[in-house]
Formats: sequence, structure tokens, C-alpha cells
Amino acid sequence: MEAIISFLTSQPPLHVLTCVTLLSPAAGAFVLVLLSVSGINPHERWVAAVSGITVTGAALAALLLAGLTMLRPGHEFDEVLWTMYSVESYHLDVSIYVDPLSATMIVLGGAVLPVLGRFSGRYLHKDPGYLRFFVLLGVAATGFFWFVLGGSIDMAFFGWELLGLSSVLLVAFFWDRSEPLVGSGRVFATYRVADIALLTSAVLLHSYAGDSSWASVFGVGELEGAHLGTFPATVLGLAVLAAAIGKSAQVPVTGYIVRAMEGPTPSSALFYGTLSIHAGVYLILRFEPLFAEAPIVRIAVFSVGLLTAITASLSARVRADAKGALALASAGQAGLMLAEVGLGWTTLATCHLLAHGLLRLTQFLRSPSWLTDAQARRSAFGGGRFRSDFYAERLLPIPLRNWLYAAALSRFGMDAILDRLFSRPLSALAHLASSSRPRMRKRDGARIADACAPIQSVGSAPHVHVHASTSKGVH
Amino acid sequence: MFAWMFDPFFWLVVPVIVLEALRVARSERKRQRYSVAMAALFGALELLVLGLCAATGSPLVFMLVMVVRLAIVRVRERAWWVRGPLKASLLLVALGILMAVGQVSSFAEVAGTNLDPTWRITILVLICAACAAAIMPVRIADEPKETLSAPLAFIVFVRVGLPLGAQEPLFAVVVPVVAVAMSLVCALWLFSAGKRANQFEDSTLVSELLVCERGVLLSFVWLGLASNEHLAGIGALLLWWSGSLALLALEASLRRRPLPKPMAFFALAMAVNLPGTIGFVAEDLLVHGLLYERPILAVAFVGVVTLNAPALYLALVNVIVDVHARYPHLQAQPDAPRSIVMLVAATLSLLVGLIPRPFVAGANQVYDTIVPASHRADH
Repeated sequence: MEAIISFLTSQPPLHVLTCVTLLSPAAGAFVLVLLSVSGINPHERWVAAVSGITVTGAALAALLLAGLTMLRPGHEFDEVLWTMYSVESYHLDVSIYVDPLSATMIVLGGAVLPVLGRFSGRYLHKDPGYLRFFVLLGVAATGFFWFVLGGSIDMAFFGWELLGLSSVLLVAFFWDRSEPLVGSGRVFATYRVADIALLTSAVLLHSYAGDSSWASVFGVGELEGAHLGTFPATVLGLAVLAAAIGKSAQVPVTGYIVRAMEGPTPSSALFYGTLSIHAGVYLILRFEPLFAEAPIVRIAVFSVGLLTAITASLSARVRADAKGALALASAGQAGLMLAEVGLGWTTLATCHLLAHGLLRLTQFLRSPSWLTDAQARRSAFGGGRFRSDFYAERLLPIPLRNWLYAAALSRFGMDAILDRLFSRPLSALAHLASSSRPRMRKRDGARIADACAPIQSVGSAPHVHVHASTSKGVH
Repeated sequence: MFAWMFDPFFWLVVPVIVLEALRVARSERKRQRYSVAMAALFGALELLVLGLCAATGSPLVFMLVMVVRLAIVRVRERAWWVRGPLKASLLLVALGILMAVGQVSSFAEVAGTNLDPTWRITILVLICAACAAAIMPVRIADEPKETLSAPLAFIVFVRVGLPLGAQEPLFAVVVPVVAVAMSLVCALWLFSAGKRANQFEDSTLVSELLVCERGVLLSFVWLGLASNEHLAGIGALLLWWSGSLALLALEASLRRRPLPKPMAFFALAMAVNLPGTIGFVAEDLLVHGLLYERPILAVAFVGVVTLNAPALYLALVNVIVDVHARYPHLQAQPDAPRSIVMLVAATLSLLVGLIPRPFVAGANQVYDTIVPASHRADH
């Protein structure tokens, strides 16, 4: 038995599993793209089969990889697979790093992805974007596994961006309507800021630690981790927190998650119930050892998390649509996890992450049948009420309760504040910068009457835009 | 007089020139206005003329070819335009001074020439002004008249500007700042264009999007080249490739009706340098190159990168919404007429992005050629 375990936990089997995990979903997506561009219109069954085999294969390989790594002494597997490029002393290695933390995330991804693939195969039956969905599912799975298994922050960044890209494109899945497109714009802008924050973290890590691999920064086995000092650890920690805030929909950018619900339900479950929403938490958990040198970051992580937990939970309670409520509740739970990390309770946060991801997946996937479920529950209660008349809010004074209700409805005005602080000044700046440019002319040569019309906010643009475009009568 | 420079830089520029020629040859407008054969001929001429400019080692030949190209574009576009002759004049004056005052008959002699500082600065200012003019987007109602990604000013900048700039301590300080400022302006214009999409004609919106994005990408290339940092220079050279591919892909997809949306989104991914594309590698190198010696520039660069992506996305989304509103009858049609150019561009970008090592090594070799080690900031 020991010989078998020893063989299985040696490098060759783990290398094979790694390659299957990292490449299989990408290969599936690539095959589907090839089928699409070559003019072959594959039957839904074939699309689902290709995606199912590759994504499920990757998930199984990932679960095995996590399990076998846990059998290794030290519970870690760190390996540089190849060097992508190198210039003088700078090099980018494709590496893998599995430890108990990444194993937990792998378990989440490995459990979720096959279920989602199976569910989506039926849910999107006869949808014109059927193939596109499964291509993006493959990209998302690839991104997730690279993010979690990547042995350095550079590799994690690679996966992080792929995960974000697939998420945005799935929000814009129904692109014949303008709302999903505009909603995806908001998600893209938020993710891009988070991307840049993570890129900054990567560059800072290179600069401060001299290396970006998790093994050298946090230490593996007898190898001691890097000691950055208070200031570098604080700057780095704040950059990482900024990235996590964007990805995990924390205060003040929680609002984008509601717009992201324009995508199909399986994609909402995948990103905003399980994988993407927890990516930020995972990142904070990964960097947690550095926070020992940066108490300010700990306080910031705790504060952001707690604030999000309170505001998002309250907003979720007044939200009228099921998916929006679930998304806000997910953000609130992610906030709680961050608060736990801030307090140093990393094991609790990791367990919380895993349990929450699995529960939320079920809730999201059941959300289209919410009414049926509610009726079934009511029947189970004999037709009577299945909720008591007691709500904790009743303990509050009425004016405060009303204020909280209104504030929760508007998500505590955070979207408006962000618009006022960023969108409007940026629009005004863009307007100012382009005011010197020659005005456009209509096709009939008439000068546009009001070229200096106020710039519409992202949320309101399409309505104005569509009417204006249609009114030109260009066909 | 007929010296040739088939050096690594030439071979780096060749793919960019080929893409540019392909763009001209496949231009829908030129096919409609002339014929498919004439459009192909114009593409071949573009390839020949730009190739000659990249290959020649003689400033005189360069000047002659530049004037010939101006005439060809005048005939091709059936209109005079301001910016082309303006840029050509700036370059002609700069090269004229170089030949007359510096007694330079070959680009290879530029590094060794001992020009008076006043003349040197004059030449550098003229070349940089031509580069700035090439980057600055000019609003147009139809296809861009000039090259999208292979401005002659950049070739002169590399052949003359970099060797002369190495003798001017302020060169590597001022030019990158100008480049970053220009990239910010271009990104803001792109953002503004996306916001006011309803004020644009269909083709104008696409052109506006293209020239603004071209401005952003070329500013980054200019920034990396002028920064005198090794990694940033290599990143800039790779970004020149990736930018050319992205612009070609964007144009190929956005001018089609019905709009091939998957392709348009992939072109966007190429333009904003998402992982898997060569732009990702280029951006990574550029940021790392700038960070250590020019942290403020790196922060500014990152800021523009952050703004550029949502601005481009917003513009693209508005193109899609606009097309839906204008051509409702196309809605029922299947989505994507396939574009071979787009597919080739995407495949190349992915291929180079996933196996970047030989291309990074190639760009490294080019950088060693155009900026000798003794002239580098990190030397």
C-alpha cells in the first residue's frame, strides 16, 4: 500500500494530473471553437459531450491531485513545469503549487463544474448561444484551475483574468438585448480595476520579495518564507485587498453583482455563487501570512468584510428578484469570510468558503423553480405559513427601520457615490478632452445640433442611445 | 546611397507591414470604389513602399519613397488630407537636416555622428512631433487614410531618434511623459466616443474607435521604446506586433454586417491584452521594465491601461447596440460570417501569446540592435 501511495504521490503521476487539470478544459473549448469556425454546426448533444468530458475530466484530475497532494509529506506540491520566457534576470515560469488551501478550492471547483455543465446542457436547450456558453464554461474552468493551482502570482493573475473575461462575456450572453451588454460593461470595468490591482500586487511582490512564486514568498517545508517588513507588507496587502474587493463584490463595488445577474442562471451560479465571488477571499487567504507584518491590512480586511456583510445582507433582504437577492447574499457571506480572515480565523474562513459555495450553487440552480419550491414547502406545512411573523427588524424603532429599508433598497447609495466620485468626473474629463475635436455630421450633412449633450451614465445610455439611433432612420 | 538594412528591426517590422498591406487590400471601400484587383494592387503597393522604407539604410531613399507613398495615397483615397503631408514634411525636414548638417548618408552612421546639440534637439523634436501626429487620432467619417499600425515616423524614430536620443539626457525623460499623456488623451477620446455613440454614423463610430485605440497602442509602443529600459523596450516591440494584430482583427470584425460578435469580443480581448494573447506578455514586460526605474511612469501607464479597457468595451457594446437598432432585419440572420483575416490574426496572437519564448528572444535581439548596450539606462 505504501509503495502504491509513494508512486502515486511521486512527480510523474502528479504531473499528468496537473496537465489534465490545466489543459483539458482549454482543449475542450478550443475544439468547440474549431467546430464553430469550420462551419460545422454540432448537435447540442455533441457540444455537451465535449464540454462534459473535458471539464469533468479536469475536475476529477483536480480532485485526485488535491487528494494525493494531501498524502505527501508536508502536504505541498511545488513544481516549475516550464519557463514561458526569460529576459536577463527576469523570467516567467509556468509553475504549480498545491497546498491545503488550494486543495480546498480545487474541491469546490471540482464539485461544482461538472454539476453545472450537466445542468446547463438541459437548461440552455435550443438556445442560440448554446455552443458559446460551453466554450466560455471551458474558459472559466481553465481560468479557475490556473488561478488556484498556479505556483506564482503571475500564474494566478493569468487565471484570474481568464475567469473575469469569461464571467463578463457570460453576463453579456443575451447580447441581442442592450441591458445585459450594458450590465457586462459595469462588471468589466470593475473587474478591470481588480485586475490592475492584482497586477500591481504582482509587480510589488517581484519588487519586494525578488520572486513571485508562492513557495519562495510563503515558504515550503524547510524553506522559510520572505520577510518583507511592515511598509512593503502593508502596501502589498492593500493592493491585494483592492483586487479582492473587486472580484468578491465588496464595499463599495457591491452593486455590480446585481447587474451581473443579466447572464443565464448557470453562469450566475458559477461566478457569483461559487467560483468568482470566492476568488477574492481565496486571494486574501493566500496572502494572510504576510498580514502578520501588516496590522493595518488586517483591520482593513476586517472592516471591509464586516461592512459588506451588513450592507449586502440588508440589501439582499429587500431585493425583489431571486437571483439578485442570492447574489447580494453571496457578497455578504464573502464579506463575513473576509472578516474572519481579518480576525485570523483562516481555518473557519476556508470551511465557510467551501460550505457556502456548495450551498449557494444549489440555491442558484433552484432559483428558476423558486415559486414551485415555495409552493412545495407551503404544501409541506399543510398550506399554512411557513415563516413566522417575527422579524428581527421589528425590534428596531420605526424611523430607523424605514431608513434602513430605503437605504437597503438603494444599496446604501454606493452606486450613486461611485458614479459621483468616478464615473461623472471621468465622463466630464473625457468630454472636456474631446470638446476640441471636430463635431460629427449626420449622413445628410447636417451638423449635429447638440454635440455637447450631457454624457449619459453607463446605466442609462442604451435607452437614449437606441432611440437616437433609430430616429436617424438609417437602414 | 542604396544601402540596405535587413537587420532584426526590419524583420520585426515586416509582419506589421504585411498586416497593413492586407488591411488595404481587403478594404471594403476600395473594393467598392475600384475593384478587387485594384484593391489588391493598392495593398501590394503599400507592402512595397512600406517595406522599402523599413529596409533602406539611406535617408535620401527614405525621403523619396515617403514622397512617392504620399502620392500613391492621394491617388488611392482621391482626396488630400492635412496630416499625411504634415507628418511627411516634419520627417523630410528632420532627415534633410541630418543629411545636410550631420553629413549622414546612412542610418547606420547616425549613432556615430557628432551633431551640434541645437541641431540634434531640432531633429529630435521634429521626429517626435511626427510620431505624436501619427498617434493623435483624427476624426474621420470613413476608413482611416493612413496606416493603422505602421507609421513611417516610428521607423525614423527607431533609426534616427533612438541613437540621437541616447546622446540627450532629457530625451528618455521627456518623450515617455509625452507618450503617456498622449495615451491618456486617446483613451479619454475613446471613452468619450463610446459614451456619445448615438451621435456617430455607423462607419464613423468604428473608425473613431479604431483610430483612438490605435492612438493608445502606439503611445504605449512609443513609451516603451523611448523609455530606454530594456524590458520595457522589448515589451514595446512585442506590443507593436500585438497592437497591429488587434487593430486588424478589430477592423475586420467591426466593419462586417451582420456583426460577428464573438470575433469582435475576441478582438477586444486582443486589444486590451488579456491572457493568452501576445499583448499580455508585452504588457507584462512593459510594466516590469518601467517599474524599477520609472515608478511614476509605470503608475501612469497602468492607469491608462485601466481606463482603456472599459472605454473600448463601452464603445464595442455601443457598436453592437447601434447595429441592432439600425439593422433589425439582420437580427434574424446567423451571427458570424467568418473573416479569414480575423481568424488568422486571432490564431497568430494566441500562438505567439502561448509560446512567447522565441518571440521574446527575437524582440530582445531587435532591442539589442536598435539600442546598443552602452546607451541603455540600466547599463
